[in-house]
Amino acid sequence: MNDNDCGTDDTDSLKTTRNPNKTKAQETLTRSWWSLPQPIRHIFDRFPLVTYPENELPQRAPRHQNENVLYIFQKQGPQSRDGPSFNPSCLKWQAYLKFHGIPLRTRTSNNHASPTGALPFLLPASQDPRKPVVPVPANRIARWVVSQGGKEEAVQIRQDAYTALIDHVIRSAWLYYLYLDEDNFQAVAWPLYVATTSTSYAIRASLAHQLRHAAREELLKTNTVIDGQELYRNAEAAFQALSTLLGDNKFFFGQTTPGLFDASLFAYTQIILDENLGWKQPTLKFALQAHGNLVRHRARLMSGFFSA
Amino acid sequence: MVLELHIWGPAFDLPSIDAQCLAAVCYLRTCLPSDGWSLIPSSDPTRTPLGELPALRDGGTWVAGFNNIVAYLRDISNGEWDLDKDLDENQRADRAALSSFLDSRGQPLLDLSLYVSSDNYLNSTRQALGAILSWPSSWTIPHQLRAKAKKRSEHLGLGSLDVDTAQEDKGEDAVLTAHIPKSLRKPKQTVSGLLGRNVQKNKFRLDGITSDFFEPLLEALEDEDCFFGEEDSSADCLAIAYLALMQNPELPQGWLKDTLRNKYPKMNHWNRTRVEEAFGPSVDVDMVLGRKDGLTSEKLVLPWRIPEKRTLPQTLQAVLESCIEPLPVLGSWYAISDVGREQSGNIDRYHTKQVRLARLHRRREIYFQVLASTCAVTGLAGWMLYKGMLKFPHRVLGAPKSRSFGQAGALFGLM
Repeated sequence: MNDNDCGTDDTDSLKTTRNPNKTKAQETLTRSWWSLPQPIRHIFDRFPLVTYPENELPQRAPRHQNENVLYIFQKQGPQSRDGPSFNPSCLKWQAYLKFHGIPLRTRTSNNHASPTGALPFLLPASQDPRKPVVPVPANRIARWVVSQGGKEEAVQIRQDAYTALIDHVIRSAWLYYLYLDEDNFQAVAWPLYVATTSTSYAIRASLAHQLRHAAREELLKTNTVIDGQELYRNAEAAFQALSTLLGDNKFFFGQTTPGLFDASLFAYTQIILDENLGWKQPTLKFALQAHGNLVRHRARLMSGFFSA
Repeated sequence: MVLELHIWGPAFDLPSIDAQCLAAVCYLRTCLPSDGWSLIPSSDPTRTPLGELPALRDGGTWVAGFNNIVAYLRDISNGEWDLDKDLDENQRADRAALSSFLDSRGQPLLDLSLYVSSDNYLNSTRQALGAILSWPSSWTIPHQLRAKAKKRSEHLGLGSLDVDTAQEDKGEDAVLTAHIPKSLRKPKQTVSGLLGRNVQKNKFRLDGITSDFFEPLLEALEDEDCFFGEEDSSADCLAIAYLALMQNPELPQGWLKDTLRNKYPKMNHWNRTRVEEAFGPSVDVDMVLGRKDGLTSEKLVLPWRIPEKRTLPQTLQAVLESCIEPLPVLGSWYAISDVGREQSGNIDRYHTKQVRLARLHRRREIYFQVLASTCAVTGLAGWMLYKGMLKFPHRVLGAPKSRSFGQAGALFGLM
């Protein structure tokens, strides 16, 4: 606007210099009392001196608004962009969304970024770029998939019981395996969860303490005294039961496509069997490798949905 | 060798107030001859070396927890005392799944019903616990159990059943309402009104949670008498125990009992008959705990034995421990939460854990005694210093060293 005003004023002034014969009354009409004096106007005409390019969007601004973005724990680096998460609950939903063929982009994040305080969460693709999208927390992802036209999974007979086996027995053993076993914590959990967040020693130490304390508290809810060997023995029995349940089928409960139950188990088996994580005390890994069909189940899902 | 089963004491006409203990009682009764074991309602986890009930004592070996007891009985009898021995592979898998389902879903439901819900806790559960506990545990343990139950059922998001916290929230509002003129204020909410409103709000959630528990159980039972085949398995014992504690107590907020009776009458009936088979007629608390005679009569179905009375040092120890445990830093340090990593063979493992725990306990106690005596000595010395009974030995200052200036000093009279 200012530029324009100045431009018109400028042409006016040129006209006045070209036509000196014009009457004084006319001049007083065009030049009101408030208009700028000539020399100052000349100075302002030079502005803007430089026009900078536009700033980039802030880092937290959603980049891919027309895509579904799942925020998970994930290794950084270009080759693992689509790779499986190293956190069981993230991997479960990542796998579930992939099983249902939902187009997806994953982004590395951490718990502090999540609206619920825990990863994963999903930012659905927005139809209207001006409206902010509502994030979908983990416990509503299954419902969201149905709303997107995915088929609703029927709950199989005894599925609830076997889900308890994964969510209760295997999870307890996993918590001990990753966090409370000192060697494994230093070898696996430290580089994945602690070292990536900060370079400051104090923050790392306090974060590591928080993680282990949380795991301990979680286990003390159901155990009076935490006995790692007992947890591992229970997990072995659980793997045995799941292996019997799977039998020679491709997927659980004789389904032709993998479902939520396959995703829940895959979330643990993938991470336990992952060769890239250097477990120092691979108790659970050995326990799982005793069951060939569970290992093949994991390999099948890995090659079918996570081929990078 | 007579096996001893130590459990939480009887309540609500059942042999125990705890589901795991009930399941253990049911399992031992089905699997062992009645003269092969005795049942002791000691209600004191600190008296077992593992710090947990139910605990089975076989001579010098202790085993705690239902699943461990089942495994131990199988191991020492070469598979004879094993209710699951006739199951095929698929049934074994189903049994493992069902057991973990019962533990992980049943326990939070019981926690909500017996402990979290203020009405039920204050009017029923606390009295029941008070009847089986001796001083000073009767003052501390009910609160501890409730705190633990709240933690366990946190994920269900029904904390508002607990009126204590609801009232705390109300306290914050009171500051705001002080500015509102009296005529415009809403009438004060009574506790029962608050509870009634909360119960309605919670009803939908409760319905969801209870059906999540009962539906799969009903599906697994399929009109049969037992979950697997004709015979009882360990999963049956667990199911009977959990359902009995949902069905038997007469609670002010009886939503769990009502749901079971109205929506799942078949399961209700099944459990009622099974409970009678398993535990016999209702249990007299006073008689079992030795406050009343009559325990020797033949009518009793279960092999009860009166728990030993606490000796004076044990009571003192209990008082001391109940004082230490709530302390913020010291308490968590004093409690043992991890037995550490130690591999051991098949049957030795029970003993190894116990030995390790005993060693840890001993070590903590020594540390604690050292700490306590240091504090006491420092305190006493400080007090005596303050009172002037104790004095620091004053350094006797010798005569000031005189500087002699030799002959010149003598000349000027400087000594």
